[in-house]
Amino acid sequence: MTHIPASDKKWPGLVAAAALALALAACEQDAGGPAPGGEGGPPPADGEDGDDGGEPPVPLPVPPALPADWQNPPGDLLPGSSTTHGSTGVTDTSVVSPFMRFPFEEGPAFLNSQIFGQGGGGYGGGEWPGPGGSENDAANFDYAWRDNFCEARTNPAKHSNELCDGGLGHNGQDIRPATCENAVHWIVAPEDGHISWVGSISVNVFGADSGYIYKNLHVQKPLPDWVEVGAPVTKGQRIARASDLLSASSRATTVHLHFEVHGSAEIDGAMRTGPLPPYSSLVEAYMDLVADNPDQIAAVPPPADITKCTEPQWP
Amino acid sequence: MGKFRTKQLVLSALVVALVSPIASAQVSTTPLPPLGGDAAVLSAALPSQEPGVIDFENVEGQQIGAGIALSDQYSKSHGVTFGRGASVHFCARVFDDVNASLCPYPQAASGRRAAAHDVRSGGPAMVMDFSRDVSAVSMRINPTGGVIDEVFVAELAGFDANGERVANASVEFNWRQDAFTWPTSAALRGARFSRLTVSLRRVAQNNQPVRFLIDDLVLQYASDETASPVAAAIADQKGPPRARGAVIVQSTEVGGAQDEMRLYPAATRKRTTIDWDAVEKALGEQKDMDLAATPYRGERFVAAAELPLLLPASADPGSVIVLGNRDSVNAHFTLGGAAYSLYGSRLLTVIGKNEGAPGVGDAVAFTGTEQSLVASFSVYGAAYALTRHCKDESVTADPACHDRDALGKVAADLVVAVGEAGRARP
Repeated sequence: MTHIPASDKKWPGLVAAAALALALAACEQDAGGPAPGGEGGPPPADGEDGDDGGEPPVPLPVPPALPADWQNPPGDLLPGSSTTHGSTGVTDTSVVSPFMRFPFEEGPAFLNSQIFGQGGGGYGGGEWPGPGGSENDAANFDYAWRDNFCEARTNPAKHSNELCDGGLGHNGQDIRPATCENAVHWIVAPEDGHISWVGSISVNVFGADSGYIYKNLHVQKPLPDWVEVGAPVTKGQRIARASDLLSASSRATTVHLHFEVHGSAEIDGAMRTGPLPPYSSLVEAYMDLVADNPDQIAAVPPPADITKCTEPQWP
Repeated sequence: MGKFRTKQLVLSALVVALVSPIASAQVSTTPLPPLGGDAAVLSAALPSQEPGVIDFENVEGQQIGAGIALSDQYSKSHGVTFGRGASVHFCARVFDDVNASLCPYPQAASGRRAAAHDVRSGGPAMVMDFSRDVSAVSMRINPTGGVIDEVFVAELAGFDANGERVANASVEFNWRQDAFTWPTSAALRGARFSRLTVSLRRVAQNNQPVRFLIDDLVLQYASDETASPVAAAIADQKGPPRARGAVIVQSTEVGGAQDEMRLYPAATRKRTTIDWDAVEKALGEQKDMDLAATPYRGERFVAAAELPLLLPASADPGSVIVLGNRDSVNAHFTLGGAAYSLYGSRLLTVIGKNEGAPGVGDAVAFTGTEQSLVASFSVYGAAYALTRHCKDESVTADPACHDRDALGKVAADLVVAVGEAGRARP
């Protein structure tokens, strides 16, 4: 059996934070409806259940001030944004990588759609229209988080995914950093391991504990000098900066990190290696991050100068 | 050997000197049974082609006996280009008006013609460049004259695309003038090579290179030759690969109090059972075939892995790096200049899918991403994925990233390797 390392124990205060978030989320849905966490949801806040005496409970720190509705549940895509024009991705809430670190060095960060967010052009030549507007829109850099694993993609040569409706869909999760500033925000290693791939716009990490491969896409070069295949890396170590590079020569996307967790899976009793839904893992990792850094929760104003989004600010 | 294995290589391991009549069909193959779906793409990479045989009887534009120069006449048909000094000559008991022929024998090894190499115009060795990698070659070889029982040494050397010598062999023989057929055959095998040099030395004259003749040049192309037992084992599978015998090693309940702090439950992970008997069998077959993994870096990861590693046999030298832990491995390598990764794991994360998702279908799945083409499969009880990384990380900009056949051929080049921990059959 695998045991949770002491160093990875969550901050106890998050119990209360999560409970509060879930309670409020439940109120917004329907009374008595299932909490997003299902059976894995948090217990009652400390002191609410019966106390059989013994040592008095240690007072918990003040929980971080994540908004009550800061994240939508896994698999809850933007309406109409799945490959079949639905709004459901993978609803399994399982955290595939329970102990990983959040892949941006600092918060806040925002999980949401790039092509269906503000400034996004949609997909499929109008079949999945986007809202247009500006990438720099404040709505892109605020809560609530939105899963976009299995978001509409239709080219089998690029977007095969056996977990998604119709066998096609987005293979990862898009994460915007605190602001749209290009080549500014550091991406860090999710766990101890080794650099397993360095591409023209990507850096992958092989996790020594989990055995997963973490794929980080749309990174700006130059990378730190030491980043090369086989180089050891520690959890939280800077490996690259997020940019708007769609390829080495095209800045056709928005400033964001496309994040994937690859590993082997059992799906309906069959084995397959491929991308796993990362959303709930990122939720947990983010709760760890902001628990230690509550000052990194609040959304920050977008830069007044849009060129900071389109022109790399570093080096 | 798996039932889809087709190669029956008769050529000996390195060099052989045969006195029995040479046959152009030293290599035989059997046909592949049909498979469905993506597995068929992979199995198509298994050997099914006949070896190439050049008997030098038909050379476009030749003038019999005139000794026409050989260069690219067999390039289109056999992928061979000859260097300077090579030419085709007529062999006959009566030379008629062809006294210019370098062939003094009554007949060639087969037919009436043979290829000659003249050291005066072409240097000490006949050079052949192959447009497709060749992994085995054989030929009859004879000097153009000598003293009865005089000792000659034929030498063959194979070079890879980078010009590195990757295989060589030599055979010593005593010359006989009155042989009805050319008695000496030389063969080279053991690596993929794109250039071959052939030379003949006269021992009694300070090993001086001398002119010589070859006939019935037989080429075994590398893609035919290096299909490993791994590829056969993959192709043997049909339908979704089942995770048989997997045991839970991490579950929602395990974390205890820590899990209560989570918004969502930790995924269950299972450890599969490896079919070590099949692995051992594959290792034995590979040994018989002289197949081995390209030398790699990352020995400590290989030693610690408790699962069979799949590594390329023909990767670019010096390019293979292995990473891993007890249950998962990740190798990176280049082959022909293109970048590949091989991931394998016996640790399965139990995950649900969308209700409308197809789930795991065929035994082998080719999936495309925006940066790569991936072949996913399971073998020996673990799950693997072979990734071809697109140039510029753009599947649009790199047509090769659509080539499933090419990726299947790379999969067919994989061999199994087991480190110290794996040998304990955990």
